[in-house]
Order: sequence, then C-alpha cells, then structure tokens
Amino acid sequence: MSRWRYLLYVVGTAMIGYGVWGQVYGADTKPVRVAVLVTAAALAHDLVLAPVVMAVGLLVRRVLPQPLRPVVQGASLVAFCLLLVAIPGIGRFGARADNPSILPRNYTEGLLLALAVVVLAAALHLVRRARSGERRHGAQT
Amino acid sequence: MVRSTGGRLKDPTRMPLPIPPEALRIGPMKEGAFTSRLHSERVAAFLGLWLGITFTICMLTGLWSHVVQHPASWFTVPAGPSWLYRVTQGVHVSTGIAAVPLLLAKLFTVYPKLFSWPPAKDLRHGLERASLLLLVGGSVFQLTTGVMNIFHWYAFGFFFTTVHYWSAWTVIGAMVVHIGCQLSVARRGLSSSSLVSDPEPPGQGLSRRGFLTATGVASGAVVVATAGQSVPLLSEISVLAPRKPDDGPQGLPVNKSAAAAGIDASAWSLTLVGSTTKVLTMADLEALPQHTVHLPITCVEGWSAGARWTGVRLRDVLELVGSDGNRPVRIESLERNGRYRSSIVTSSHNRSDLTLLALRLNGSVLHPDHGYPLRLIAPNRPGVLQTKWVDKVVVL
Repeated sequence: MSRWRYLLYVVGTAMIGYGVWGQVYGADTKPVRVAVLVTAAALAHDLVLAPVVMAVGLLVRRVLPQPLRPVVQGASLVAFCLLLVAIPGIGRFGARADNPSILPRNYTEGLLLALAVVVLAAALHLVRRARSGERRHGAQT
Repeated sequence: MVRSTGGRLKDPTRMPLPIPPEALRIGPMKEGAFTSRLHSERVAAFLGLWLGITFTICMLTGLWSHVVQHPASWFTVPAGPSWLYRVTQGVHVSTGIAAVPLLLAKLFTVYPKLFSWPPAKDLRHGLERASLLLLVGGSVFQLTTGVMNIFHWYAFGFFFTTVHYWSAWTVIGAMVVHIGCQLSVARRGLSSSSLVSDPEPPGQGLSRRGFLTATGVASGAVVVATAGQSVPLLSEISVLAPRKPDDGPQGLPVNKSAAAAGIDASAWSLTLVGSTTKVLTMADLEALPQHTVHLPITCVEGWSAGARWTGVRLRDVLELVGSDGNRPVRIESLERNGRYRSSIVTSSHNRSDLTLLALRLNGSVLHPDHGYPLRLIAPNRPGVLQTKWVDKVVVL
C-alpha cells in the first residue's frame, strides 16, 4: 500500500510539474491569467457556489414537509446542473451574425422543457411512492 | 535523523505542527458545524471513483486528439477507421459534461474538510491540502472553460486548446497525488464492510443512496441534453446542444465562415508544388476522375455530422506532380491569416481512397462557408485539419 502511495506521489507530482512547465514555457499560453483563473475557480466554488447551495438546502429543509423533501432535493440537484450547462446557450455569448449554425436552438425554451421533464419525473416518483406507501399501510391494518 | 521508540525511521513529514489557539476555531470550523449525513466518506469514495473514471477517459481521449493535431515523428495517424476521431472526440466532450454534476456533488460531500481543524496536522497534511487547490481549482477551471468553449464563448481570454492541454496534465497529476493521499480512505469507503462500520445515520431529506442516484441522473441528463450534437439519434432530444448536426448551409454546421476568414475566391486556381509545379483551373479538376465518399466532419468541440463529398482524390492530384504520397504534403488555404490556414497530410492519408479535394457537398457545389471552391476532406481527422478554400498543395 505504502509503496503504491509513493509511486502515485512521484507520478502525480511529475505530471503537475510537466503541466506547469508547459503553461510557463509553452507557446500560446497565458500562465498568469491561468493561475488567477484557477485560484478564482476554487474561491468561486468554495466561497460562493457551495455556501449558496447549502443555504438553499437549509431553506428547503425548513419549508418543505418531510415526504416531499428528498424528491425535491434530488430534482433540484438535477435541475441545477441542467441550468449550469444551459447558461452559455441562453446568454448566446458565442453567437455570431455571420454563422447561424453556432447556437441554432432556443436555449431558454430548451431549458424550460428539460426542467419540465425533471418536475414531471419528480411528481411521478412522489405519486408512486405515495401509492406503495398506502399499499404497505393497507397490508398492515 | 529522528528515531521513534520502535527504532524505525520516523517520517519527518509526519512531525506534528503546532495547533492554533482554540479561540480561532470559529464558524464552519467548529465541531459539528455541518449536519448533513451526505458529508460521508463512503459517498465521497463512490463519487471520487466515478469522477476518476471520467477524468481518465477525458485525459486519454484528449491526448489522442493532441497527437492527431500535433503528429510526432514516431507516429502517423492512421486513415481508418474513418469514424474513430468522431467517436473519441464525442466521448471526450460528453464525458467532460458528465463530470460536471459528479464534480459538484463530490465537492459538496467533502466541503466540511475545507474547514478541518487543525488546518494542518503535520507537514504532509499541509502539503496534501495545498495540492487540493490545484485539484479543485483546476477541475472547476477545466470543466467551466471546456463547456464555455463548446458554446464558442471565448471570454476566458486565452487560446483554449493549448491551455486546456497543459491544465489537463496538472489536474490529472493533482488527481493522482490525491488518490495516493486517499488510498486507504477510498478502499475503506468502497468496501461493503463500511456499510456495517459506517451505516447511514437516520435523518430526513435525501439519503446517501438517493444523493448518488440523483447525481447519476444529473450526469445522464446533461449528457443527453447535449450529446445530440454528435449522436444523430439524440439530435431532437438534446435541447441544450451547441450544434445541430443538420443545421447550416447545405445541411452541415460551419465553424468559420468565408466572411470571417476574409475569402476572395474570384481569382482562384490550384497550385501544385512537387518535383514540378503545376497550376490547375476548375475545369482541369473537373476533368480528373471524380469520386464520392461518405465522411463525417468532426469538430474538436465535439459536434460531428456525416456528409457526402464529391471531388478528386488527393492521390491522383499528387501524381500529377510526381509524388506517390509517401512524403507529407502541406495543404494551404486562401485564408491569409488564421491558426488553421494550412494543414499537413501524411502518407496514410495521402494514399487513402477516401482522402479527397472536394468540389461538392451532398450533391451540389460547395457553399462558400464549406470551403468553395475546394476543400480537403479526409477520414479520421479533426475538422480544423480539413482545410477549406484550398489553393495550394505542396509536397514537403
């Protein structure tokens, strides 16, 4: 185990070194900008995204009655990931007048459609669970 | 050298560091600040395993794409199978997208560790935590810029391909170091005995199993929502895909338009430079044997679409200037500036029946945005190397 551990340390450190060397000495790179953005990415996740998600989670915990809670939490997780991936399309930041084949869809509509599927699936899941719960309850009485 | 009482060499990186005063232990650093049962070793181990698999697939397909675009002297990219690059690059992008929910879920699960107390138990613990900045920041950076790039959103201000390549080495390296650090934790978390030793605490809300299921569903959902840009069957379902495989002039997407490339084809002719130099007109090309092939265009951004191309074989054209195709050739474009204004074609592609200088697409003359008057189309090759607006072929 310990030998494996040191092998992984050595290989991993060498790969890190190679990557950093490439950023600094390679052609067509911007090492300072990349270093700033990598740090900003870690901070944005740890100090903004994660606390906000947890605050929303606490709110859900307070507001929703228990039988709804797990399904709403799971559905929110899926919905949030879809929203993240939809942002560049909805903002149309990459759209070009000379090339309409880039971003050919209506991404707001697309996201709403995807979210509707998530809500529908969550509702079906709740109904199914309620039914199976009733059956179990019925069998007991 | 420090010796422990047992007589074995003591690891200096394991010497305890001073613990900061307890008064500094505030907010999230306090004992029991995080109450969710999802902050669990077992959940983290499973998510880590899945994330490790997706990152490894991304690295391998990424390295393949790199050697295809920067051929080494010891390696010639094979001309077949013609669909290979289409599949590997589609897998690269879809796997990266699948990793987005996995990464977020993993970071959520281990979030309390960010505030662990004491901040560094010993030197090794401190180094391990410092390397996590590279892993966490690098992973978020890599996936964010990757997703932005497939949507042509170049706000990050650097040339994506090279930076993505070098960052990948750093992130995967940090991942390998992290696996080394967490080897025993991961083993414990993944083994079924941890179900007994670390059972799920009772609680309300999402269970651990439910959380892993929801994360898996989220990964599947973002993949299905985008993969239609390369998988024709999903084209209508992929409501968030950056491209439609049949949307564009002549039913095919375009990456760079003729206008953006500043193309003026009014005085066009094709110059061949080999053992002799020849200049061909359109009529000369049309007089050569015409061939039709079905080949995909595959962009490095992951989208791909099959099409029917008609034109002359590169091989036949090379024969006109006395080349048997063994030597590499440089295909040059009317585009005067631009990173991809020329490309190198090597022997396996030169000799392939499928490598054409195409005049027609899906039965009609090439649209200017697809490279009118003449473009290269070859099997198993990324779109940036399928040079458009070709006006010169040079045997090297």
